[in-house]
Amino acid sequence: MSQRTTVSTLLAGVIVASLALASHAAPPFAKANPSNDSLVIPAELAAKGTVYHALPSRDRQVYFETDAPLENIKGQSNRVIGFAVAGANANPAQLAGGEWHLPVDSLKTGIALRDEHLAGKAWLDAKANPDIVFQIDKVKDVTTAKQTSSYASYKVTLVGDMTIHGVSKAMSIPATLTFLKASDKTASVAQGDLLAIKAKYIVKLSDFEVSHPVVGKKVANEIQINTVLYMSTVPPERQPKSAD
Amino acid sequence: MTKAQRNLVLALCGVATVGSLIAYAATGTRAFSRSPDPELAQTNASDDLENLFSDETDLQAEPAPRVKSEFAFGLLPGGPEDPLAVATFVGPAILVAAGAFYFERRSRRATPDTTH
Repeated sequence: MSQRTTVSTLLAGVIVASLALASHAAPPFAKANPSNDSLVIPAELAAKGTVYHALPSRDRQVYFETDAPLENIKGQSNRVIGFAVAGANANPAQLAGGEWHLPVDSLKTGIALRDEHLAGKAWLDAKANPDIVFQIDKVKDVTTAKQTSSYASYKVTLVGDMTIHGVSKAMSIPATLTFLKASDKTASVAQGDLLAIKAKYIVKLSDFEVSHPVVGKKVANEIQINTVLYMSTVPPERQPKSAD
Repeated sequence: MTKAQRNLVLALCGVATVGSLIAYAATGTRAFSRSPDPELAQTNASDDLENLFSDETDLQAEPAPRVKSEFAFGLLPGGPEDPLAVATFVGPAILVAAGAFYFERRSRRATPDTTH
């Protein structure tokens, strides 16, 4: 009897572990287009609403900061590529999906050697895991913050999978979505209807198996991240090149 | 080494130390030395989308934080591309000053004062 109980307990444990693993297995990543400035959006997802494309190589998109004894470590990137699929006109903030890729080697801290270390094997290992990826599964807690004839702003919670260092973890990130309709003024900056996604959140290096010995000692485990993604219904490869 | 030579060496070490500390204070008292990064500077100069949303919406948005592209003479080297720092001046200066004292004392012992 006790042997049967032991086997049942073990089997239950294996099933629970498998379910847990399955729940944190992120769907496959979208592929980048040949010019590597946007992602190829799955057709079935694009059909669900209006597609907005991230506009890389322009404003800062991601900024991070973490505590360290000598000086805080700060970094930024403007090379995020990705998309968000807005919901129906009546509720565009109810995103049908989205995915953003941040190339690890695009993170700049202001010190070249530190950038190298960050992308190195002991930290984020850019060779094995070139991108940090966030995949939106759903949006919840949508509240309208402001609505006018030209723009609308919503507070939301983005629910999805964050993949860092090859490890995926479910995350819920509070964000603000601001939809700005195309006009003569906006067209002078970027073509198409525009969307700004702003979010501040914290990730823990240990959650993503970044296990350098100094984590938690000389470098804080918690990383504060500011994300500001400006997106357009016109993909980056079709935006006019800005004259400098 | 004569006393005069020792004092000259000490003065030079002092100048190097004080100079490096002044450079450290004048460039932001950063822990690590760094040089301007053209890519960072270009990214930081691009604010047109942020300004557009600020102008066209009523949302009170704080400016996105940024990493400065700057020159800084830090306490420690920032790597092979930024090898100079307070430590790279003060460390050798201390060693040279200690050496100057040592060699001056050795010279004094080797040539004892013969006047009484």
